[in-house]
Amino acid sequence: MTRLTHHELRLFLRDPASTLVVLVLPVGMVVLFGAIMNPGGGSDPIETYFPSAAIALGLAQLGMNLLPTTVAGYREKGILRRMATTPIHPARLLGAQFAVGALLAVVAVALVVAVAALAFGFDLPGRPLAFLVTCVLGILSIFAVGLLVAALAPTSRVATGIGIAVFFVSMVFGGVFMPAETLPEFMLTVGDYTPLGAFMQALRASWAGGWPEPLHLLVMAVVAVVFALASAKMFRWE
Amino acid sequence: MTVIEVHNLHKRYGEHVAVDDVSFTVERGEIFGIVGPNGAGKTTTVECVEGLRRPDGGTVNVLGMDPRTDGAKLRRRVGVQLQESHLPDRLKVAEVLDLYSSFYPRPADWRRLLDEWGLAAKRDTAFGKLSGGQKQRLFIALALIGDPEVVVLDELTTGLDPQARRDTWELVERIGERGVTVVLVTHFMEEAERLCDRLMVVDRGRVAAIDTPAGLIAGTLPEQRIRFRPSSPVAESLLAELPGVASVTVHGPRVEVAGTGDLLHVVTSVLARHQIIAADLRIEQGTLDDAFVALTGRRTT
Repeated sequence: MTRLTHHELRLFLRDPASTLVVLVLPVGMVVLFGAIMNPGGGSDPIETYFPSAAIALGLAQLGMNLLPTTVAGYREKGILRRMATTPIHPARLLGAQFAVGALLAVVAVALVVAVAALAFGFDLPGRPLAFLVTCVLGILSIFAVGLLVAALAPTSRVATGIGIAVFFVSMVFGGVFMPAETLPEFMLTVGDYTPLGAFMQALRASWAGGWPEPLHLLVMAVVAVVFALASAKMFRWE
Repeated sequence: MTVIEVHNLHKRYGEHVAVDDVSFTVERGEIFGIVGPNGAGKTTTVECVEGLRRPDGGTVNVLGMDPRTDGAKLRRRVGVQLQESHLPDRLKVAEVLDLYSSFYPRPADWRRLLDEWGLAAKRDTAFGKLSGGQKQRLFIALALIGDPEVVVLDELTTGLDPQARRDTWELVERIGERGVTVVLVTHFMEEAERLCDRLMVVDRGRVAAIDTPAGLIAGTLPEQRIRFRPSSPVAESLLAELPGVASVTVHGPRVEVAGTGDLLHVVTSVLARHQIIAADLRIEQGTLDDAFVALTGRRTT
């Protein structure tokens, strides 16, 4: 299993585009906005927006776009089937994908937090435990969405298509493209019930030093469980 | 010793019956061929043997195990080359072999496989950059990586050029020489004739015949033709009355005898008794291709 995860990680890192959108882009966002707005550790809520949006963007790319495309591609190309002829069940390959994704997500979060705080004077997350819980729930729920897309899409192209659609809708309604406080009321309400929106608001709350709204944590937890079970039930190996 | 036993196998996909009552056995060390037109149910049959598909009816026993219930245990001892498969394009040859060898409790030495299958120079090449023949060799090496007792090779040489195909045949013969039982699915009759100890002809999900290549030809196309130029004239009646002879035709200096059984021996001995020498002697017999057409009513290619 470790060897499989190691191979999957190596494959991921060999694809420059993946590394770019998951690691470089979020950090780049923090660098760009950090340089423009020169944050001074003030209490303006907009200061929690930029690093949170950077994290949400990276994780959404990883979970809603790369994960379903890769997994659906593995099925489409018969890689899962080839593995089914060995003593090792292909579910292990999905496990390895998940492990690699989680690892990269943690690296992305750590990089954004470090660069934001050390280089540009953004505050560190004000309530670290709340931030940590939010990140774990966020990763699980966003990956569960990606797995369900992989389970439903017949080909990797369709998976990419659905993934991108889910990604953009989530970004808009979730207050990632634009800060939530600038969105109309109905979009905010919809966003509260999407995993990315809940993740984004919970990130900002914990960054500002408070606990996220229970609704947001609940939405992420429910999505993680329900979508994971649904994808396990509907997943086809070939 | 029997290593594969299939009885009354049935498999349908929706309304379409893919395999309709197929039974056969494969003995240890044998190279057993499964031939048939496209869509005859060859691949479905071997997929049931590999445990990749669940049969709708009948029993399958491989190395004393039922693929349905002992799948994981069975797959440690059976190597498979699938008709169509890929690996991640960016994975390198040596990495693929290293990874797959980690799936087995007692794997073969993958570095040796690399040499044996002519892939040593490609060990650091990404899968996506290999040629068709190299990919095929890699898949055969992967089928052998668990040091299996049985290997199933499905459409081994489809898409290869004639030279690569012949090279691959030699390698398959080498697998057979090691005592590994080989099940070979193919639609190339030349390949089946060259490699297989016994053949099963499948058509429309049913077994049309099971025999050795020579037995299949003799069984379906018993007639042979002998042509020669006698050193002195031969009376037609001399040959026509011989056992097994169906017809005798004389074209100028050439004689053609058609018939069944041990025709060559019968004809040459009567000629010898009359001190006639047969020059330019040719024997024509049906090919496996002809036998296949006779059995299924279809051409293979």
